[in-house]
Amino acid sequence: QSTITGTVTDAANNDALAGTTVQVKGTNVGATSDAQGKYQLNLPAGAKTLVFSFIGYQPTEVAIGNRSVVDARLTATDNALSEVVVVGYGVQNRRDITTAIGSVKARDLANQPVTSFDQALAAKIAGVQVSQTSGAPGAALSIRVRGTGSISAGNDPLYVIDGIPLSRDTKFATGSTNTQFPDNPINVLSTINTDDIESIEVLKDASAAAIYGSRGSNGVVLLTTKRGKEGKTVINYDGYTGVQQVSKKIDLLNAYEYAQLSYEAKNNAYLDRNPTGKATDSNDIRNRGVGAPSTLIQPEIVPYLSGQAGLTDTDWQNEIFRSAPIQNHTLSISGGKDNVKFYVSGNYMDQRGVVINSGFKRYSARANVDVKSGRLTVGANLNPTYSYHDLIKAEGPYLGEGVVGLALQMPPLFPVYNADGSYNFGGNAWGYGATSILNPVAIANQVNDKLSQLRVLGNVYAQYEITKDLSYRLSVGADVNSFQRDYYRPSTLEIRDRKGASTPTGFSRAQNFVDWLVENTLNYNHSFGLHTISGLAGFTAQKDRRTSNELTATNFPNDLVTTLNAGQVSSGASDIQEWSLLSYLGRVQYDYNGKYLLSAAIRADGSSRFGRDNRYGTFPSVSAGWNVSQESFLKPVTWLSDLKIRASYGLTGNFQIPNYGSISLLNYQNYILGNEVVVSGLAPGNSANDKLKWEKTAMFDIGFDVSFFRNRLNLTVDYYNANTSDLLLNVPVPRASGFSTELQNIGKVNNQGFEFTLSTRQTFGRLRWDASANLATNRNEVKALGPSGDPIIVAGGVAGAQFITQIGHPIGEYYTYINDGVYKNQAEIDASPGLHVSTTRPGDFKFRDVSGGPNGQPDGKFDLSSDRTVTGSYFPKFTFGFTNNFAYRGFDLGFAVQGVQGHKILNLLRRYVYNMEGNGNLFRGALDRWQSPENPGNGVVNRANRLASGSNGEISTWHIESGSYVRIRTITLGYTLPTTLLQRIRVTRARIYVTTQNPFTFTKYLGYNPEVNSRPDSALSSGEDYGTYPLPRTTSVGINLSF
Amino acid sequence: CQKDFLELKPLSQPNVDNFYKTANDFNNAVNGAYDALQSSTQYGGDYNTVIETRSDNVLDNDPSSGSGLRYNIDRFIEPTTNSVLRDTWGSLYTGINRCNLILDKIDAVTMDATLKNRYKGEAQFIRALSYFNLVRLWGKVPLVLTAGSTTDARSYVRNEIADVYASIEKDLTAAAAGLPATYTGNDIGRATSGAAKGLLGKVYVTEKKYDLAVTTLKDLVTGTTYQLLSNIADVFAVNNKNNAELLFSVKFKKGGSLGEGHGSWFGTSIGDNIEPSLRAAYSTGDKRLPLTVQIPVPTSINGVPRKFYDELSTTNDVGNDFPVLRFADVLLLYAEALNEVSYQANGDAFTVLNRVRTRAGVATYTAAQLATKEAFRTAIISERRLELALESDRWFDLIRTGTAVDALKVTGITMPAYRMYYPIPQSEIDVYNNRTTFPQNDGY
Repeated sequence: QSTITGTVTDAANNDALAGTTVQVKGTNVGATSDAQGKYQLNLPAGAKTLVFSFIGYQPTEVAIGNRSVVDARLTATDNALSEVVVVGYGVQNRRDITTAIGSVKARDLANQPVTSFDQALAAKIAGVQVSQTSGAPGAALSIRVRGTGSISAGNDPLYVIDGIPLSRDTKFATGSTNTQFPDNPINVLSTINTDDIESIEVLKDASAAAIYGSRGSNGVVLLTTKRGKEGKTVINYDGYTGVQQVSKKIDLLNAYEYAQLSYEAKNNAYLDRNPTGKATDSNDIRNRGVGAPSTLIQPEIVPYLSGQAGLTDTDWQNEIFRSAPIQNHTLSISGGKDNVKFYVSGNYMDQRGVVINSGFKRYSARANVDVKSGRLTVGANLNPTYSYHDLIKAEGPYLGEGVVGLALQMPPLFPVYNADGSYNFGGNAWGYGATSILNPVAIANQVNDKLSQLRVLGNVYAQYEITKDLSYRLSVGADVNSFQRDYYRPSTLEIRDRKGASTPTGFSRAQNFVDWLVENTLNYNHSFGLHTISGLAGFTAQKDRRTSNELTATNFPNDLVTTLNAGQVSSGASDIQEWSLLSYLGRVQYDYNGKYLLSAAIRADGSSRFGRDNRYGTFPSVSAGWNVSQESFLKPVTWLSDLKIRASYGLTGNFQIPNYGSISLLNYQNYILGNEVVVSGLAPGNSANDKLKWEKTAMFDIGFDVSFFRNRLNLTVDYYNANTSDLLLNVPVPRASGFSTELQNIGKVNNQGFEFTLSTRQTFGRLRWDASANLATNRNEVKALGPSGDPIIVAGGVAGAQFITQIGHPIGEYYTYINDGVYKNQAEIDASPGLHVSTTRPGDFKFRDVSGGPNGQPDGKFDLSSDRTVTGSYFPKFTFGFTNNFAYRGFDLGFAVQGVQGHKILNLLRRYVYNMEGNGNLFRGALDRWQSPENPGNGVVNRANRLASGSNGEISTWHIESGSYVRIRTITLGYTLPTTLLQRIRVTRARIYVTTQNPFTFTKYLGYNPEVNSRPDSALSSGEDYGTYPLPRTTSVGINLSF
Repeated sequence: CQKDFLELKPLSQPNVDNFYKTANDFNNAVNGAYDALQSSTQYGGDYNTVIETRSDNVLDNDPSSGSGLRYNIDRFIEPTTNSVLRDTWGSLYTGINRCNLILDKIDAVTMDATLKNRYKGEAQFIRALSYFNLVRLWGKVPLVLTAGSTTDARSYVRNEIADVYASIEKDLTAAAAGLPATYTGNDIGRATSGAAKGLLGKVYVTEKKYDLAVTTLKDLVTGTTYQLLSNIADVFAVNNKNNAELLFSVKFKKGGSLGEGHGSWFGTSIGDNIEPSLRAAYSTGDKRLPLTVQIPVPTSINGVPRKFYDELSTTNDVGNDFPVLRFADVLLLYAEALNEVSYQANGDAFTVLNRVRTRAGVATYTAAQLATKEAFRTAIISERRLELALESDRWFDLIRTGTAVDALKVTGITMPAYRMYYPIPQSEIDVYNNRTTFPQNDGY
C-alpha cells in the first residue's frame, strides 16, 4: 500500500477545484480534494487508475503508473464552447454553431417538483417565454419562442423527442366540459419523465429551424433522453416528496362587510327607481315598484346588518384549497459493455392538487438501447407512459362553473354544508334578483371527471457506415396516444337557477392518435487539410390519424353507477381526421480551420393540409460564423478567450392549420318538422380555398458569443428580425356572402428583439459560484391584415371585452373604454353633459371621450360606438431570468428568478368580484367605494348598486391591471455526503436537498397568477383572466443516490 | 402514390364537391335553410331583443348583463359594433345564401317536377321572409339573389328599399304558386302556399299597397284552411303545435343535445321586463292580458310570459314554436288594408277586426266609436299591439306607421328619430370600406 497525492484544477483557468471526488477505479477507496485542490489517499494493491469527478465537470480517468503524485485537470461540462449541442438531424460542437440555439442540460432541470420539463424551462433561455397559465397538476403551459408570429394558426413550438417530431393535435385531445369557458388543456408533454432528459435544445432562429421546414416557424424544442455510456453499470435513484400550498389568497369581504354592501346596493337600486321611496321601506312596499325583485332585501343578510356576532362567515377559498402532497421517484440503470449500451428507467409521480379533488399521477418507463456490430448500429427507444388526471373545472366564472371563480363570488354568509351534512346550495336560485352561484366545494367534490392517457412513444433505427465518411440511417418511429375521459355530474349537484336535485349527465370520450414516421438520411463528413465538409440528405414521410368517439347520457336513475350504461344515452358521435407530410431535406456545412463556418439547409414539405394549388412548400436557410479569436491577431489578447460572430437567414413555415381548411365542408343543420321530428339539414359551413397554404417566416439573426478571462465570463447577444407572411387569417368577408370569415393566407407580422445571456463561473477558495442571467425583448407588430387592412376585433369572455389587432400594433391589444374614476357628486355630472348616459348618478364611473369627432378627435361626447381605444397588451416589454448556484464543500445552494415586465391582464373576474352589485362577494377594495358626496371613497371604486346605473357595466380600464411580476421560481439547498462515508455502504454518491418552488412572487396583480391567459391558443384574445387554477407553492425534500 | 399520400379527403364530414346532386340532397339543403330561421340570432332568440325589446312592449332591466349588449338596444344607445345586430344580420344572410344555393343549382337536377317546385317555393319563401326582416330592420341592404363567392360579395352595394321589396314580392308570388296548400306527416310545418300569400299580404300592407293586400289576403280570410282558435292561449300551447291558426311557425324541440330547443323567451330573473304601458293597454277581462304576465317556471328562478311558457327540459332549454304568421294577424292586416282603401262604417273591416276582439273576450267596436279612417287606423294598430304582443311585430308596426318616437316617449325613452333603422353592423361598414356604395345609416 502506498500513499498518493495530487492537485485538481480547472483545465480552463487552472483554479484549484475543492471538493472533487477522487476514487480508485473499481474500488470504494476515495478521497475529496481540499480548498487548495489537494488530495491524499492510500492506494490499495493493484490500483491502476484514478477517477476524478466533480459536479459540472467531465469525470476524468488518469492512469497512476508508478507515480506518487497524480494531478488532474478537469474540463467543465458546462463550458459553453466544449459542449455538444443537438441540432436538427444531428449534433454539433457549440464552437461550430452558426445559428441561435438555446440549450439546457439535465442538471438544470433535475430535482424540481414539476410534472413536466417545460415547466423547468421557465426563465432558462433568453427569448423562450414559458407561461404557466394554470396551476392544475399536469396542466398545459404556453411556450413562445421569440414572440407570437401567428394570429390564427398555432404558436406552439415543434417538439422533437429523440428525433420524432410530435403532432400538436394531441394537445386538444381531451376536449372541454364547457365551450364558452374552455378547460385549460392537459399537458401531453407531461408523459415525459424529466429525470430521463439529457438535454433540451431550443432552435430559435429560422436558420436552425429550417431543417424542420413547414413546422419550424415557432421554434423547435429538441429533447434528447439519456443513453447508456461505456463503463461501469450505474444505478441512480432520484426521489422527492413535498407539500404544496396555494401561492396566494385573495382578500375578500367578510360576511358582515358583504351584507352591508349588498344592503346598500339594494337600496341604491331601489331609490334610483323610486326616488320617493325610503331605505327603510319593507320588501312589501318595494315589491310594488319597478325593478323588483332586484331591489328586495334578502332576509339572510338582515342579522348581519345589526352586527349580531357569531354568524356564518365562510372563507370559501379555504374551503376549496388544501395542502396537497407531491412525490416523484425515478430509478434508472445504465451502462455499456461489448458494443451494447443501455439506459432503462422507471418513474412514479403523484401530485395532488391544491384545489380539492384534483391531481395527477404518472407511471412511466423508458428503455434506450444501442447495439453496434461492425459497421452496423441498431437501436431502439421505447417510452410507455400511463398518466391519470383528476380534473377540476377551474376556468371560467360562475356561469362556467369554475370552482375558483365560484369560491371568490360565493357570499360568505352561506355555509358549505347544511346541518344534516348535505351541501348547502343557498347561493343558487337565491331569488332577490341575485346571480345563482353554485357551491364550489360541492362541484369540486361531486363532479367526477377523470382522464387517462396511455402513450407509447418510440423508434427503432439502423445506421450503416457505408464508407468512413458516409453513413445511412433508417429510423421508424411512432407516437401512439390513447385518451379516455369520463365525466359524471350527479343529481345531488344542483344546476344553476334551479333548486333541488338535477338530472345527472355524463359523457365518455375516447380519442386515439396514431402518428408514424419513417426517415431515411444519409450523412457525409470529410476533412482534407484545414477543410471540413459535412452533408445531410433525407427523405421522410409522416402520417397522423385521429379517431374519436363520444357518448353522452342523461337520466341516470340515481348516482350509484356513473358509467353511461346506467343512464339513457342521449347522443353519440365518432370522428376520424388525418394529415400527412412528405419531406425532402438537405444540409451542407463547411468549416475552414475552425475559423470560418458556413452552413446551408433546405427542406421541401408537402402536406395534405395545404390546398390543391399549393401542395409543396420549400424552406431554405443559410448561416455563417467567424471565430475571430482564432485569428492570429487576437491570440495575444489573453483576456479574450473566445469571440465568434455569426449571422443567419432562413425561411420556415407553420403548418398548424386545420386538416381540411381548404375544402368547403357541409355542416349538419337540422330542423324540426311534423310532430317534433328532427329532420336532417345540411349547409356549407365555410367557403373553399384551393390556395390555402402554410404560414411563412423569414428570420434574420445576427449575434456573437464572447468569453473573457479564460472562459469565466461568457456573453451571448442576438438580434433577430422575423417577418411572418401569408399569415392564415379568418379574413372578415361581407356577411352578405353567407359567411362571416374565410380562411386565407393574407396577413403579415413582424417580431424583432434582442437577447442577452451572461454567465459566469467563479471560485473563491472552496466556494464556487455559477450564475446565468438572460434578458429578452420582443416587439410584435402587425404589418398587414385582410384585403382592406381593417382591424380584427374579437370579443373575449363577454361581448364587451374586446381585443383589437390592427396594422402598426401588436396582435390582440385590449380595446376598451377608459375609466376615469367616479363622479364624486351631481355637480360633476351636470358639468359634463355628453360624457355620460342619462341614468348616471354620483358614484358611477366616468368614462373618457377619446374619439368621435372629425379625424378621430374627441367630440365632447362619450359614445359607446366611438370611444373604445387601445388600453394595453398581453405581450411583455421584456422577460428575464436569473439563475445562481453556489457550492461550498458538500453544500450547494441554488435559486432561479423569473421576471416578466410590462404586460397587462384583462381581469374579467372583476366583472363579478369587483362590480359593486353585491350579488356575490367582492374584493376587499370594495370598502373604498363611493357612498355619498361626503364619503366618496378613494375616487376609483364605484357606488354599490344591484342594478348598475350609468355605463358601469361596460368593460373598461377598470378591468385591466398590470401583470408585471418577478417570481422566485426555485430555491434549493443540497448537501452531498462525503465519499468516505458512503464507500462502506457501496454508494458512490448521495445528495439530500430541500427545495421550494414559487416561494415568492412580486406583483401588483390582484388575481391569483399574473401568467394567466384564459385562451393561450388564441393570439387574437390573449391575456384574459376569467378564473384560473392558482399556482402552488411547493416545498419538498429529495435525495439523489448513485450506486 | 405520393399524390394519394397527400390527398386526404375529410372522412367524417360531407363536403360541397359531392352535394346538390340528388332530390334528397335538396331536401337536406332546404331543411338546412329552415334551420337558419331557427338560429338563436333570429327567431330562436335575438328577434326578441331587436324587435320586441326595442319597442314599447318590453324593457331590458339589466345593464350589466353581457356588458349592456341588450340593454343598449332597449335604450336606443347601441353602438354600431353591437354584436347582437351583427350576428342577426349575418344569420339572415347565411339563410339567404342557403336559399340562393338551392335556387342556383336545382334547375340542373332532374327530379319530380312537383317536388322541385316545392323545394324552390320553400327556398323562395325563406329568402323572402329573411329579406322582409332585413329591410325592415336596416332599410337599404344588399340584395343578393345568387350565391356568389366571397370575392363577388365585396362588390355588393346597398340596394334601394323598393328593389328589395320587389324581390320579396316576386319570391312570395312564385312561392304561393309553387307550394302546396297543406302537408301531411313529417312535412307538416313546411311553408305552404297560404303562408306565402299571408306573408305577401303583410308585405303589401307594410308597403302601403293596400289594394294588393286586400286581394291577396281575401282568399285566406274567407277560406277555411286557417281559423281563429276559440281560446287564444291554445294558439301558443306547446302541446298544440301546428294548430289551425298558424300559417307559419319556426319550429323547435327541447331536450337532447341536438340544439333544437331555445332559451326561455323574455325570461327574467331580475324583475318584470314587460313594459307597464303594455299591460295597462288591455281592458279588463281581455284574455290576452294574462299571456303577457310573467309566471314562474318550476325548478327555475326565471319568470316567463305565459304566451311562451314551457317547462324546462333536463338540458334547461324549452321548445315553444315561434308564430311567425297566424290567422289573427292576417285578419288584422286585412281589416287595416280595407280601411285604408276606403273607410266604411261598420263595414267588412269592422267585422274582421271584431272577430279578433270577440275571441279575446272584449267588447266589439262600432262605427260610433271609430268614426273615421284615422280612428280605425289607430284602433287597429293598438289591437295589433294587444293581439301580437311579444311576437316580433310591434316594432315594425311602430316604424311603418311612423309612431315609434311617440310610443317610446310613454315608456320614458327618448328615441332619436334616425334610430328607426338599426346601424349597419360596423363589421360590414369596415369590410366594404366604401362610403359611397356602402354607407352607414343616417345619424350613426
